[in-house]
Amino acid sequence: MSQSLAPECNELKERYDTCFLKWYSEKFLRGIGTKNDNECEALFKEYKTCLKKVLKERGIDKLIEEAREDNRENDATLMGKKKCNGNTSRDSMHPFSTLTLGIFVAGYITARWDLVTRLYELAIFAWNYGVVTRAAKGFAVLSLLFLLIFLPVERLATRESDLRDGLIRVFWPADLPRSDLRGVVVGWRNSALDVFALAILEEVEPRNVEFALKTGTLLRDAPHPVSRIYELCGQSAIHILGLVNTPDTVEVDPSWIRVTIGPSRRVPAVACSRASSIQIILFDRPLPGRMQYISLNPIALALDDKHDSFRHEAPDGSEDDDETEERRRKEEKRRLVEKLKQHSIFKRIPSEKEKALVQIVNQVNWAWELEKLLQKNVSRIGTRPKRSLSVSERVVESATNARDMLVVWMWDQFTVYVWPVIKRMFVMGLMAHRIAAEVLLRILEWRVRPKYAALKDISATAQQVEIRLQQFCYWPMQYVTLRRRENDWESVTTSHPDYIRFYNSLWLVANDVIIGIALGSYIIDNAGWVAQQISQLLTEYTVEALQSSISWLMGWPAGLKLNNELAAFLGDLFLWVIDYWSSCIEALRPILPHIIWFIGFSSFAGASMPIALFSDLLSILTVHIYSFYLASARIYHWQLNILISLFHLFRGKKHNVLRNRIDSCDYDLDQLLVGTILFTVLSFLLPTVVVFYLNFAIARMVIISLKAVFDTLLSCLNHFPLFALMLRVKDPGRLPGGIRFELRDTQNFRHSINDSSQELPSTSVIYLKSVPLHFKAMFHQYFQMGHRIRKHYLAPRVLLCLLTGKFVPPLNRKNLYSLQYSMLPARRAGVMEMWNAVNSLPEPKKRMAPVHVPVLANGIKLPTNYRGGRPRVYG
Amino acid sequence: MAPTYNIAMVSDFFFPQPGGVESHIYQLSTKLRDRGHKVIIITHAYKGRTGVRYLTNGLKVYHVPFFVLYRSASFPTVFSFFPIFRNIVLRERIDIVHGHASLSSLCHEAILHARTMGLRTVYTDHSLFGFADAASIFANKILKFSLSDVDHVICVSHTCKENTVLRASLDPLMVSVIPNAVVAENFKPLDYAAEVSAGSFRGHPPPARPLGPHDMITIVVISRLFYNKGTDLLTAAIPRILENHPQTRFIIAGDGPKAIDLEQMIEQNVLQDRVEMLGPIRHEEVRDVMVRGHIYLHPSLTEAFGTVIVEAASCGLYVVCTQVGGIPEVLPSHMTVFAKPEEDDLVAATGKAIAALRGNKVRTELFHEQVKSMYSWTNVAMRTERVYNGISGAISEAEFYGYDAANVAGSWSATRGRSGVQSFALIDRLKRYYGCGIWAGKLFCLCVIVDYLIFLALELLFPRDKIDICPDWPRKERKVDGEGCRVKAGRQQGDNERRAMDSLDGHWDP
Amino acid sequence: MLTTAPHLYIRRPSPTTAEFTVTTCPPLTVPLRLLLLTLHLARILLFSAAVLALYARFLEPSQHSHQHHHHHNNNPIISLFLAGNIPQFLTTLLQTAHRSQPGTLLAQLTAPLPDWAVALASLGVAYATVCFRLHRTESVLVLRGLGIQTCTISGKWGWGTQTRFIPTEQIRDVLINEAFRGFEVRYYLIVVVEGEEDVVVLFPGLLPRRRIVEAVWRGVRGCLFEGDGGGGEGDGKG
Repeated sequence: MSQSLAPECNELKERYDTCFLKWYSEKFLRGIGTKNDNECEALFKEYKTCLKKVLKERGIDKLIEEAREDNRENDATLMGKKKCNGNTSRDSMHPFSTLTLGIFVAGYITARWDLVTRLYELAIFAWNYGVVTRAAKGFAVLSLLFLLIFLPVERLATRESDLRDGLIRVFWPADLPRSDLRGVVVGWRNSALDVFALAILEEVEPRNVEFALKTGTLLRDAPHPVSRIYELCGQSAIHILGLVNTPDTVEVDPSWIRVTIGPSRRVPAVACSRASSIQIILFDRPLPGRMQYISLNPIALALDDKHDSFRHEAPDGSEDDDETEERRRKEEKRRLVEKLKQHSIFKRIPSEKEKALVQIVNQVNWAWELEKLLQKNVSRIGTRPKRSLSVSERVVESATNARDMLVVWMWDQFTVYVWPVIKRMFVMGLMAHRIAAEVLLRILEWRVRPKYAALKDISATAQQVEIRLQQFCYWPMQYVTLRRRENDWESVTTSHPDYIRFYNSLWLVANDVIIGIALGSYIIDNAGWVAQQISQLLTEYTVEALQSSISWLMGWPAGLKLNNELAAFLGDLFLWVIDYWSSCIEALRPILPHIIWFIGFSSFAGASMPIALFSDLLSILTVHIYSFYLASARIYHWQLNILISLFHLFRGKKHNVLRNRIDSCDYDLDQLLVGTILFTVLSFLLPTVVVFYLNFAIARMVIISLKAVFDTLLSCLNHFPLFALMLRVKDPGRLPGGIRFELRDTQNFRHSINDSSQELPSTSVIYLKSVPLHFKAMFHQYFQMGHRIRKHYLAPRVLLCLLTGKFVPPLNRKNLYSLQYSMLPARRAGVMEMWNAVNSLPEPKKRMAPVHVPVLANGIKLPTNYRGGRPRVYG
Repeated sequence: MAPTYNIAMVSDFFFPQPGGVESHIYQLSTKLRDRGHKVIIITHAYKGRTGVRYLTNGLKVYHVPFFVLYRSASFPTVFSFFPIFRNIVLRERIDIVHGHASLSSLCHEAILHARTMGLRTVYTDHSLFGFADAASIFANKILKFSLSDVDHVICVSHTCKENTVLRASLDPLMVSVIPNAVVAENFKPLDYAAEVSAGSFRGHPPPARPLGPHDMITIVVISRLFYNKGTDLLTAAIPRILENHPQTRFIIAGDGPKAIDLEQMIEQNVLQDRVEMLGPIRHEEVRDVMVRGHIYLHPSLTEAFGTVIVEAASCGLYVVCTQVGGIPEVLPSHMTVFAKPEEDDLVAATGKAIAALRGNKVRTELFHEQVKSMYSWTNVAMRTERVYNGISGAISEAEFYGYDAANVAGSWSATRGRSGVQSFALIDRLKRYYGCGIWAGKLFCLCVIVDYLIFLALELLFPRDKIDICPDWPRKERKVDGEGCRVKAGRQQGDNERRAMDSLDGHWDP
Repeated sequence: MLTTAPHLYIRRPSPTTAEFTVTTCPPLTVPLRLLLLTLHLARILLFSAAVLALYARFLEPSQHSHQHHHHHNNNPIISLFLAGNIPQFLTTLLQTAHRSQPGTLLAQLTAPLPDWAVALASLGVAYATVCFRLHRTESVLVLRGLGIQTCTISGKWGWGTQTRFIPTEQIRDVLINEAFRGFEVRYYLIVVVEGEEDVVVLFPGLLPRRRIVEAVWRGVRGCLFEGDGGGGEGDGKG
């Protein structure tokens, strides 16, 4: 860059120049610069202030001011020229006026001669002291700055504008009525060339429509507050977007679009004077009445705040090492992603159109309802003869009115006197139950110490009860939210997942109870037989099978030559315990039928209850196997440890406990001798212990797998996405899994345009469709749980534990049941919250109100109009 | 204008794993790139480092996914590497395959396959081997197998050359010695920068800093703590050295199985305050560790070249090292004190070194300049390039091997490698392999035949025209002065993805 | 003959919208159409044969009902169908087919085989014929201001069409990368998605050659990012 005029400003200028060049070459030339590149702006300001100071102290600024002055007036004159070159008064001035002007000037000079002379002297002085040259320099500097700053900004601005003029995007509902009447398209104008058509108002004048939009006539007597529409669609007003089927002779606003539609053509022909290329995006409007909607992301069937909270909640013991490992992998992945973030060829600032996508999805969801509303109010636009009712219609209407009156009167009586009482009683009962549930839950979740396991973690029954209670606590809240959505627009899609969850859990409980009743009645009918079966199984498998296996192990099993004494000792020990246990079972046998009966009775609360009870019963009745397993595992583990340390001694090393490493160490002879002897003895005794251990370990594994089967049954009964599946089959539009675009062939369409002798810019027709939710996504929770179980039990870690006789940790119930909890909030609403929520329910009167007022307002039959939009609870 | 080649460096050892071979490959490739060649590096996949990476300055590295056997040497499968190798060679249009390190099976396989595909091959040996124990016998057989049909062999020192010639029974003429080098800029003494900025006139020695009789003398040891690096020797020697010389301390950097013994030694005779163990350090930290000391102790049992000694000397350290392998060739005698690889001698030598330093007899501050004048990678690259010229016949073999050899050449060039005329005909190769031994020869011939059949099968399965030729990174024009900027190992790791993508886009931007 | 190496079609109705389709389906000429038609016919025949074999082996009612059915021959079938009594219609159809010439032949053929073999074989054949697919087509749809949509037609009749839509403001960049795949190193297009840990690979199934990949890359860059250089080149290629 050139030197600055003032040496003291040089480095400022340098800084500014470098900054500017950087911006110019990196941002602007890549077309991603913004008009105000603020970092350079600051530098430029500094530089300007510095320069100003210098100019002032050199007295140039005045000159510059003058220069600016006459520049301005030059501009003014030019402007003036432009303005009034219609009538050529300036160029051919009237001679008389010139004469008067001359006389005036002459008189003035004679009058103020001294002033003139002083001016003259000043001019001479200026010339002598080279003020002019300085002024010229000043000009040079300023023009340089002008070139540096304003021209690029100008260019940028122009570039932006013509870029934006390139592409117009038109969202057009594919199922709009296609008539060839003239009309006005109204809709959202998301950005200058990004429009969203809502409706075609036929046979109306654009200015009337404009007026109506301004006064809000088109949105009058909306069932719900209109502001909601604007806030959700992200726009402040509905605009006129263009005209339909108007001849080209009609002069229209350049930003408007001309649409040609007709019953014949499936795709509207859009033309816009400002657009060089056009995207027409057709979409089928989802019906809000049927709770259809589209969304960018798949609908979440589970409450997602759960899982991470569970993660944080259960960081204890052996469960976590695979959790931590998983977390570590995630961490690694994240770091890679960070690294990927570093890479960017250039930073792009997303344009308006790109940011508008979320709004547009909302607008699509609103399209149907809004169009209905607009079409309803079309009759109010302009001067349209209000059709008077015929006689017969009058009769019918008066009759209906009379009937309506009667109904309304009775309804009012009911709501005034009876309804509050019923409601109050119901709420009271509900609250009573809620409090009882709270107490129970507290009991179930009570822990002796924070680390200890609560009741619900130990027994499946407690777990099941807790889940049901939680659901019970959650339903009223869900119901309240669903009721709330009834006095909001139907297009508000936020509560649809809640709806599905609510009915899903209701359905599941219902099915559960139905199955349970069948099961329970069966069990109760032949409780004796069942009890007898169970006791037989018990004696057969938990006693006799065990005894036989142990005695088999005592005499050399499979030709394996064990140590007789040790085998006999262990075997006798276990056999003795088993005998004692069998006597306990004998004592238990007479009351078994009662237990069974109780189980059967409990199953009227749902088939999941007896299953849970059975699973608990199983773990109680096999507690002796569990203890055997623990004991043998302990023995085996000790022996292994001793062997390992002795082996170290063999190699002349020892395990350094402080440093937790293997040190080399020199032993004495007797130490080595004793160690070796012990090593041999123990290694010879090992197989005997191993076989016993394996025996019990296998038994233990069998029991664990049985319990796993029970748990799987439970989770199916509690969480199977029944309702979602049914919806998916019945109406896929209600389970959106994202959106998808289809590019349609535009060739034939282009031809049809061409022969209509109208040159169109290049047009692309795109269909926007909603992708229904994948089945995989519905069962995502199941896959997750299965994956977790597999990772926990089929890991090499478990095998290692089995081999080294360590205790195989059972899968943490929390993780196992995260599936079932995924339908429940992380924190259940307190009693008071529920009280408030229940009391905040809207009055049923509200629902009738909007139906009535407009009936009298004008002669259109509103109930029919309304029924279109009222929410029906499907399924 | 000398011809430029597309060269593929193949070795199991490359960054991110630190070490001498790795930095050798990196430096050599960089300098060759500066000389206008195209260089790619083929190695196996390291943890979190699989696929194709671009290092800074556009060095392309193929991390081939392979099973790692021991000390990151991949599992020796004779043929499994062939398909990928062929694909890479074809898509990069390689004409010279340059293998490194005798322990890397990847390198040997690559040489075999390259010969099968009719490419020129060079092999650089970095290590010495015994002839006695079973492992080295096996290694020698492998080496013999792959080297019996190689165009040229490069050794890092004359000892290494003898060793290799003996092990692989090579023609000494086709083995040339090109020592390693160091980038002296990265191994400056502490006060070096200061005096240069002070504008000291060259030639004259910078002012020495005298070492008082009671100043603490620091002895630095930087090596991977394996058996062959003489860690046991070190463990035995340290306590004695420390008790003989009260005013000394040790700094030990590096990691390995023997580290525990060192720690134990420290704990047994309580030396925590005088021996500092830094654990594993990255390659760019080596200098910062070195400049903290006065003496560098290198107790290695076997060493082909010992780059680290040169680095130490360049940092202005007085070097005490065992007189094994190629070490004596590396440094002039006034920089080093040699010791026989045994405990007492090592202790004595260290004592001598300490005494010399205390007496200010050695001008360690001169070392840097001398090392700088002795070793430069550009020189290495030029000599390597000459080898390439020789084997690809760009310069006459007479010039390449010297005239006397050329006269004899006519008689036996058909079988033994005269690279200019080395024939790729299968029968000639079989002849060469057959001479490897009674059983081994036949076995090798079998392998070669199978390899050839696989090659034919691959030509059928993956025809050449189905393989995309990948665009070259823009080549540099030949530079006269070699020393381009040295990029540290650590820097590359962060950048790789970015580099890869940048490079691609940079290449395809219209 | 039936399939070719993957090649590229570009549909670009307007400079701001483009669809890049990579397919193994050669341009449909008349003989090719005929060939495909015969292929489909053969497939349908196989499927019906498999179903028939299953029916004949397992669901065939006993003999005397045969005669009973045999009397009113095949004109009532149509009436059944028109009557909308579909299961009845199907059973009668199957029976007639079974009693027809090829049906008996089929029965004779499958007679020596044991039940499980017949079941396995026919089920396998049915599955193969249903899920058999000849061509593989993958496409990328680029809409300026909206985003990129990848589409993989895995099923033959367009079912199992997986689409994935990536809005523009989530797209960090579109690049070409190379990686090992099987025994070779391939070039492939990836989309780096904001806030996602996996990049999205375009044309994951059939990774096309470098020429195609570059053409698509240029096209996508030019079409997606306003004012980006690569725009022009995208058009001519493919």
